[in-house]
Amino acid sequence: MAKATQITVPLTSLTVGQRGPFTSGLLPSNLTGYMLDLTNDATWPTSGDVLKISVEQSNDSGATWAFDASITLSAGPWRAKDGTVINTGVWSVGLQNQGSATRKIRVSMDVLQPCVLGAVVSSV
Amino acid sequence: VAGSVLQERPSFASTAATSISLAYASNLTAGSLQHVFGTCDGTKDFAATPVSDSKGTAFGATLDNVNDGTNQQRIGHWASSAVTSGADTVTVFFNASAAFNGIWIKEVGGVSSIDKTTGANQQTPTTGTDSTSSGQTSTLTSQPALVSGLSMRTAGGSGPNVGTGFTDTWGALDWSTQARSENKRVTSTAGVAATFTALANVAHTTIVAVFREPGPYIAVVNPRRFVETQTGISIIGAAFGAAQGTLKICPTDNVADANAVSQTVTAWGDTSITFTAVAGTGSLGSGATSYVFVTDTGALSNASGYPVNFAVTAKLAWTKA
Repeated sequence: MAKATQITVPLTSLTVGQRGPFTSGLLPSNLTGYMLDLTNDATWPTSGDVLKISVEQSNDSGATWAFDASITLSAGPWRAKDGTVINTGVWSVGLQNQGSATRKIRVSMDVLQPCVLGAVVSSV
Repeated sequence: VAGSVLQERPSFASTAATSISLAYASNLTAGSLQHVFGTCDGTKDFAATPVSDSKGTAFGATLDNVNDGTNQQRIGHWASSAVTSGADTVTVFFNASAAFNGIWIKEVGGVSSIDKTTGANQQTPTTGTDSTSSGQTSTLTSQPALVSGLSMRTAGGSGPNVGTGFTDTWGALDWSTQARSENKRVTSTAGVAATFTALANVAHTTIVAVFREPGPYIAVVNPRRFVETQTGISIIGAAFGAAQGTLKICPTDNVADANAVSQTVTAWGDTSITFTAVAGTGSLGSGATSYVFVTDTGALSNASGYPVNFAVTAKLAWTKA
C-alpha cells in the first residue's frame, strides 16, 4: 500500500530521559508494516548507545497496548551503503494480520545520551 | 501435525544499532521451535550471545554466519529449543554499532529439532530459475522435514523470488528489505537446498535450516534377540499412532534400506506393538544386528533404527547375540 505519514516528530534536541509516547491515529486496514524515517545532525554522539526507540501496537483503537518492536541506536556517523556520511536512516517493521480497522501504533524514546533526532512514522 | 511455519515477521534498519527486537504478532504455541535470522554490516558481527527472547528460551549456537565481503553484509541464523506458549519478543545483538541490521523471526510448528543447515554467498548467481541457492545440505537424518530458507540481495535492491516448490509464507515481496523467506516440507532424506530466483545477477546470500518432524519413538523391543516366526515380540514406545502403520526390520540403520522386511503385526497401539518375526529372503536372520523401524500413517518413522539380533534359528541367535 502507499506510504502514509502517521506521526511526525520534528528534528529536536533530546535530553536524557523518556520521550513520548507519540500515538498514531487509526491505521489503514491494508497496511503491511510501518516505517520510521529518522533524521539526525552533525552532533550525533560518537560513542556508546544513544537511544532506544520502542513501538507498541494496539488492536482496539488504543484501549490496550502491547510491545511490538524496538531498536537501540548507537553512536557514530550514519552512512549510506557506499560509506558516504548521511543524516537520514530508515527502520522498517513488517506487520501481519491485515484487515484490522482498529489498529494504532505509538512510539516512545528512551534517550540515553543527548542527541538531535527527528522521526516521521508512516504506514506502508 | 506436519511441520509448517506458523508465523513470521521481519524488521530492518539502515541506522547503526547494537540490538534490534521484534515481537511475534500472535502468541506462540507450546512446543514450537523458532528460526531466527539476523543481518548486519559485514565489518561487524553478532555478539557473543547473539540472540535471546523474552521467555528465556534456549537458543543453540550460530548455525551459519555468512558474510558477503564484497558488499559487506553478514547474515546469521539460529534455532531455539521448544517454546512455551504465550507472547514473545526476540532480540538480535551485535558486537558493535552495526548498520544495515535486521531480524527475521519465524515460529516453526510440528517439528522436534534442528537437523541440517548450510549457507552460501553468490556474487553472480544469474537470474536462472532456482540458481540462487544456499547450497545442498548433507543427507537428512530423517524425513519428513521442514526446510526454512532466506535469501538476501546483499548487493542492494529487491530480493529474489522464492524457489520452485517453496512457499512464501510472509507474503508479497517485502516493501523495505532485500530479503525473502521461504519454506517447504520434504519427504526424502536427500540433501536439500533453499533455492530462489534472483531478479538481477548480483550478489545474494542464502541460508537454510532443516527441521525434523517428530516421529515414532521406540523405547524397547522385547526380547531384543529373536528368531524367525517367533511370536509375541513387543515394542514399547510412543507416537506410533492409533491407526496401524507399518513395521519393518532393516539390515542397516536406514529406514529406506531396499532389503527391509515387513513384519507381521498382531497388535498395534499408540505406545505398543506386538509382532511375529519375518526374515524374508534377504540378509535378515544372519544373526547380525538389524534395525527396527515403526512408520506411522503419516509416513513418519523413528529417527534411528532400534538394534536387535534376528536369527533364522535359535542356536544362531544365541551364538551371535
